[in-house]
Amino acid sequence: MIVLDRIPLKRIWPFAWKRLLILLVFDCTVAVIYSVFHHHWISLNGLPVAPLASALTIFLAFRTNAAYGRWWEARSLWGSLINTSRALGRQFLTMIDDEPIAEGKMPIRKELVLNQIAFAHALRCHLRKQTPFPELACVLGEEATARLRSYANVPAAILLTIGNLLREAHSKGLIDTFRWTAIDENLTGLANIQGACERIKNTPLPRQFDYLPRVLVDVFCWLLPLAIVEDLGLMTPLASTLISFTFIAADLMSREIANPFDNTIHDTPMTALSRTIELNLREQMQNDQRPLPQPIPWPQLRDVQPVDGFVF
Amino acid sequence: MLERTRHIVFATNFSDACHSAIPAVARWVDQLQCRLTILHVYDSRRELYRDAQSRLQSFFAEADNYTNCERLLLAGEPAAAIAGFCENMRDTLLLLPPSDQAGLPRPWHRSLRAQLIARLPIPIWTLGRTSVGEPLLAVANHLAAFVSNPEEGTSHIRYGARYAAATNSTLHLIHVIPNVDEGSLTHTLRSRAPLGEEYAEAWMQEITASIEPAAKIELHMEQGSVRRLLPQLFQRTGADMLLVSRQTACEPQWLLGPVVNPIFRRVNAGILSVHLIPEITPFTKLGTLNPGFARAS
Repeated sequence: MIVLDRIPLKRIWPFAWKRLLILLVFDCTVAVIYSVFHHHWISLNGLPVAPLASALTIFLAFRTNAAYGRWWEARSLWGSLINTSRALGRQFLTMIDDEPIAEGKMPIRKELVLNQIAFAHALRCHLRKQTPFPELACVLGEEATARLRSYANVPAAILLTIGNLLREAHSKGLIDTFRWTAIDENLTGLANIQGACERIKNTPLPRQFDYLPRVLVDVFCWLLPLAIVEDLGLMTPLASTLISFTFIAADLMSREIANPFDNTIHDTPMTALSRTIELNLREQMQNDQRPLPQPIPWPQLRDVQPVDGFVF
Repeated sequence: MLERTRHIVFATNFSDACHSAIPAVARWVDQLQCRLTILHVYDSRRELYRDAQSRLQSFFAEADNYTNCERLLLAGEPAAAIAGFCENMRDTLLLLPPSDQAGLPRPWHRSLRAQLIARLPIPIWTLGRTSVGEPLLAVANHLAAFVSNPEEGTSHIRYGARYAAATNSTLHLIHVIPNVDEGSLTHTLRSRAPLGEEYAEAWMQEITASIEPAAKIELHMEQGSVRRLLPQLFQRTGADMLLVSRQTACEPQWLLGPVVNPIFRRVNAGILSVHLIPEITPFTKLGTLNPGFARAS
């Protein structure tokens, strides 16, 4: 996610320069043919450029709105994930009763919180098509991670593990049915968040929304110099290229934000958000009123800061 | 070489390509189960140590949760600093994504990647230009190796075969046979690579017979322009990584030193350059297949 108050030109330029260069050559050709060789037939002065530009703007606005809708939904879903994770952490730590301390065995409530942390990391990696296992090995341990390797959908497998741990707690009498039901509602909320994120990831913007504006921008940019050459003469390339650049930049930008889980600068900052979840839940565990005889190893973690104005 | 890798060095300048490479880095760490060093070299005349350290700490933040991960900040000239750090670590795999695309010609640009590929005796992984900002393929059970000519040896193919056998992958050997035309005369002066399809096939079969028998191997050959055909053949394999020899990975340039071979620019994949291991001799016997090669050489 971009947290700068401006978008550097160098972020747009590499994707726009080829189209602009071709247009500039065409604009110069048109200007020279009209002004130097006096082939006035090339001018399309009657072309209604302003209404065309307005129609094109409407198309671009539709696409930008649709793309922004996807981006914002992705961000909202991760906001919900943070809230649900905090709520679950609180429920795990306060609703599950004490159990007899066994040597080398972690209490179920702490195991549940660690699985919740692992879920956030696993969902991020699942959406970015990245392996989560090096991180999970640190959070859950090698043995639990090895069990998860057999699953294609690791976040769903972690939710299943949490469900199994709750069943175990219920069978040991550490939690009654009412509390189990309350916690399970939040687990269903997590499954819904995962499903919604997968929907955004796997369903592209409708091709009509994506393709048509691009074609129309190109058509407009090619027609523009023919329409303005009679008025501007040799200055046509300057005006035409500037106007073309604004449309091409708008076209590129709206396309970039349409895929919020692609590990680019326009991404939902899932690394920072999953780090927030981990820090919050570890803090809850650390300040638990029923501390462990052996503290859980805590990696050196800090909030993720923007790098060059971009936070991932 | 795969079994010898104990250490991954991820050199970063925080470019978009470095961010795109993170899933691949995570997979390397997971597959090889080795320690990771995230290395950044900064210019102390332009940037404060504190700022550089802050950027380094926030880059690839998830690596803080990896069991063996450290971040290292060095000051100085990037090529010299990275080479100085990696030079004596033979068990290291260097991950070196490209810089941001400028979209402008860079006539005086010296390729850091090419300098390090030419200088360091360790495998170096990088990205093809087109994959910057695009997700890499997630298929992990296909691997491709580019077979260019006999002079480059078979180190990278053997490396690929061992990697394929260890990961239960299929190794795809890609070879592009040069076009036969008036210019072919100069080709035979530079290389002993076979010119005819039959000779090329026999050569590839001989290579296949000589490497790791446990690996599943498929051959992909076509005649024509290597720049045009290599991306097509690679895409056909479904692989996510292309192994190349160090000799092919970069080519010398008259004024500015080595550059990354432009034939890989359109390959949408990770590219792993493997240096020639001294104990493995380059492939020979071409004279027995085609007497013309022996005469040319």
